[in-house]
Parts: sequence; structure tokens; C-alpha cells
Amino acid sequence: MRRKNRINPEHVAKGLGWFSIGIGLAGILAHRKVCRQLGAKKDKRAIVCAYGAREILNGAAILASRNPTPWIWVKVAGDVLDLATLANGLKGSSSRTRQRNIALAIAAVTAVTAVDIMCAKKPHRKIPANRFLKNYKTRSGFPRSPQAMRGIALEDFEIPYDQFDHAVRFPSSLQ
Amino acid sequence: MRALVWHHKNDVRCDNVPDPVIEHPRDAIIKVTSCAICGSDLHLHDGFMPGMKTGDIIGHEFMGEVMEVGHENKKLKMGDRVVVPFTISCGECDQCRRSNFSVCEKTNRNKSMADKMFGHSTAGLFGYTHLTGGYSGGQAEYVRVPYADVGPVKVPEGMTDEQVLFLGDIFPTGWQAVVQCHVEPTDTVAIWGAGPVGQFCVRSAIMLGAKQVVVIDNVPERLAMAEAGGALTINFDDENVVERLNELTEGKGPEKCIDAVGMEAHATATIDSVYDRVKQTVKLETDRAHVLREMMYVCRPAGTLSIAGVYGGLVDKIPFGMIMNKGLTIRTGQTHVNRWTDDLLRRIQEGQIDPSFVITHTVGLEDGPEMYKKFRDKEDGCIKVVLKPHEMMTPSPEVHYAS
Repeated sequence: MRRKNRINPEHVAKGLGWFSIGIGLAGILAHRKVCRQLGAKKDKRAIVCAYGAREILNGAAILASRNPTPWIWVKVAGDVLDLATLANGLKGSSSRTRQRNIALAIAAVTAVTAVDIMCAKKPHRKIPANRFLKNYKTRSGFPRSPQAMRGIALEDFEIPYDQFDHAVRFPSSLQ
Repeated sequence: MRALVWHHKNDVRCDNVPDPVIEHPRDAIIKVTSCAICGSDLHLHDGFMPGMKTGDIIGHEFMGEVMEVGHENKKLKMGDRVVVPFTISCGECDQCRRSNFSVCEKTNRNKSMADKMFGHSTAGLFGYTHLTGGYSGGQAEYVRVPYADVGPVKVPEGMTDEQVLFLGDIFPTGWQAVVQCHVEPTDTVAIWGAGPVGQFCVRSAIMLGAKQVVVIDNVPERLAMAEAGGALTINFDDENVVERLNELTEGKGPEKCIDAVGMEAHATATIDSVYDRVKQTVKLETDRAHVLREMMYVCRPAGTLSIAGVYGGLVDKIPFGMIMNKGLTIRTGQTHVNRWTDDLLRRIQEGQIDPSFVITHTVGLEDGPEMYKKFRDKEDGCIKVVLKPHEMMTPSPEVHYAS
């Protein structure tokens, strides 16, 4: 018997969405600490906050979307940007501690990127390509053409009093 | 007996549960011969309707044969074939006497909960949230029908289940949505949503003499079915809805707008729908109101908005200033099913309409959970699913398609 794949890509996507929001919030709320640990100067705090905001928006889009795949690819692109920024920091840092911190951050982001790519490649709920399978063009439900049936109920149907729309009343000058 | 049971969000199962019994002398026990999955069942399935509990038997569109009758019930007898309206009505309260059956004052057994939520309680409903009484539903082999001397509609000899099943909900719902628009022969009626209720809105609008009926959706087979019923169609993936509706009405907008979508609008390309999805995901609102906003925007001043789609709680960013300044009338509510059933049954008997046109899938009860997903995802051309609890159908996952 074939073993069922127990990992539901939609659940993983949802997890990534919440993870993004969490990381983004952490980036914004603890931007000073992040900068300190990575040896970034004060003027880089805005960048850390902007990256955090990007993560939050990206996470919300993943959670909100019916088909999260495009948004997960956007997240992958964001990961690449993070990696590039960190690599640049690694190059410019002389402190060993900071180099180690940046290397750890690069490893963590690489791992997340791998999960993102795996999730993005899994099929998510989407509109099937062969969706127009059935032709319902003949299913009118009427015995004759709709044009012939137009107004047929008016012959013996009275609108209930509480369903009447605005009564039309004109001033005497317009009558 | 077997029944479709709600366990959690996205988790409906076909379980064995205890058989229902007569609990009140006006009750009846019905052997369900046919039942259907309704669009509003999806709100339960998808976890958007508050007040559900694990173990609830769902389903509110059903019919069958009377098996047992309480001793005070003089209307039904064993062997009668009946369609059961989804609204449970006492027939005696002030609202029922005004034929406002869906707001019956007596049948909601969780009245205090509904009073807190809605200000005043509405009627009990089958197979729905506990806010509406938490009554066991009809996607089951048997069901207890309370106040069975009021709601059930006897099926005349010679009529098939498929012809009359939808008298319990979607046909009267589509009909009421159009009637409460008070359609004039010069009117354009715009209908958002070409699902089952939308399809009946189209037929009702044609039968009630609308000049022009326009349907908005993005599912090709649904639009094709709406076209078959006499509607012009707008695929919102391909066209701008507001521009197209204005084109079709000489720039004035449709006089009558009907929402046959409700709380789970899927217009993914608009800013407001992304906003709604985010807010709904983080539980800051319950319903996605894109259709409401679009209707309010495009409707002709002094026009009418008829809301048949189900909403559960809170919506956000509703442009009320637009409604006030344009003088729009809003009419909405759960369907007063019994108000319309005699008239619609006669129309079916006379051959004015055959409601079975909407059925696309017929399966056994055991395939119900899978069909919930197919219906939700609009796969296999799925528009309306009928379940046959007592018929052995081809083993799952095969499904039978109507011709």
C-alpha cells in the first residue's frame, strides 16, 4: 500500500505565514537588539524595520490568499534579499563575535529559505486547468426559451404588501 | 444510523450516530430519501459560522418519507412524502402569523444565546449553528422534525425528489431575493454569484419579468448555466464589473442588485477583498463584504439591494454614507420558506420550471465529506450536490453526474 504523505502543504503554508508575521514583528520590536547582535550601525535600523514590515505583509498575504504559492515565492525572494544583506554585513565586519552571529543568521535564513522553496513547489489549492469540464449551456430549467418565459409568473403572482418598493407619488404640478 | 457530522473546521465525517426519536407530540421522524449540500453548509464546513459544536449533524435541505408521527400532529401520517423547509416555524407566534417564518419567536431553543448575539432571537434552523437552535440536520438517514404539523410540504403523487427537493431552501431563497426587489418590467437585475441560489435568482427574475438579468461570477460552467437561464454574464476575472454594469444600463447602474454570495466572497484581485481576508484570518471580522460594497457602489440611486447570501457576524468598511445619500433600500433575511412553497410547488407542477436543472452530482451519504470539498473548490463542474442516504451508490470516490 502506498504510504500517504502526511504533510499537508496548506498547513505548512499557513505555518510559514504565521512564522513570517512573528519574525517581522520581532524584527520591528527588537530592531535595536538585532542591529547590535549583527554589528549593524544605527542608520541600518530603518532597514531592519522595513524588512520586518515586509515579512509581516508577506505573511498576511500567505494567510489570506486562496492560492498562497505566488506569495511563498515572494517570500523566497525576500529570503534572498535577507541573505544578500547578511552576506554584505559579513564582509564588512571585523569582530569575530559578530561574524559568528551573522554566520548563524545566514544559516537560519538558508534553512527557512529551503523550507519556503519546498513549500512553494508543492501543489496548493488552485483552479484546475480542466475546470470547464461540463457544458451546462442547455440547462435552463424552463420548458421554453427564457425569452418566452419572461414575466410568466406575473400572470398570477401578487407581490406581498411588505415587499413593495417605493410607492411612486408625484406632486400635483407634475401629474 | 449514518449521518454527516461536523467535527472541526474542514472536517465533516460520515459517522454512525443514534437514531432520532420523537421528543414532542408535534414531532415527526422522516426517513431522508434525498438531501443536498447547500452553499451555507460551506460556511459551517469552512469554519466561518460561530456556534458550531463537534458532533453536530449538519444539513438543512432535505426531504423524505414520514416514518413516525407524534400524537398531536394531525397534519402528517406515516408514508407521506414531504419536503422540509430549513426554517423551523411554530405557526402560532406573531411573526409566523405575519408569514415571517424565518424569524419565528418560538422555535429557537437557544433563544437566550441568540438574543445576546442578535438583540432578538430568530427561528430555529435545521443542521446549523447553535445560535439557531442547534437542531440535528437532514444529511442523515433519519431526522427528527420539530413542529412537523407546520413546515413540511406534502409532495403530490408522481413528482420526483429532484423536482421538489429544492423547495426546502434554494428555490424559495432565490425567489424571495427577487420578490423583495419588487422587479419592474424596465429593471435590470444584477446578481452576484452564480451558485445554486444565484441560478434560482436568475430564473425567478426572468419569471417575474425583469428586462435584463446580469450575473457576476468567475466560474465558467456556472456562468454557462446562468446564461442558459436567460442571463447576461460578467466574468470578474476578465472584465471590470462596475464598468460593464454601467455599459449595460446606459451608465445609470442596475436598479436591483442581489447578493447571492454572502460571507465568503472570492474576488481576490481587489484591495478590499485582500483587506477582508487578512482581517478575517486574524479574527478581526467574520465576513468578507466585497460583494456588498460593490453592489452599493454600482446600484442606481433609489435602487434596491437584496441580500440572500448568508452573513454571520461583523463586516467592516461598509460605505453607509453611500447608501444613505443614494437612498438605497436594503432587504435581507433568511428565507420565509413556507411563504412561497405552495405557489412554487404549483409552478413546478404546471411545468413552468424544473428545478432539477441545477443538480450536477448525485452521490451516497458516504461520499458527502468528499463532495463538500469538491463543492467548495468548484471542481468537476460541481454546482449542486444531492445525497441519497438510503441508496447504494457506486463505491466512492466515483460520483454520478447528471446528464
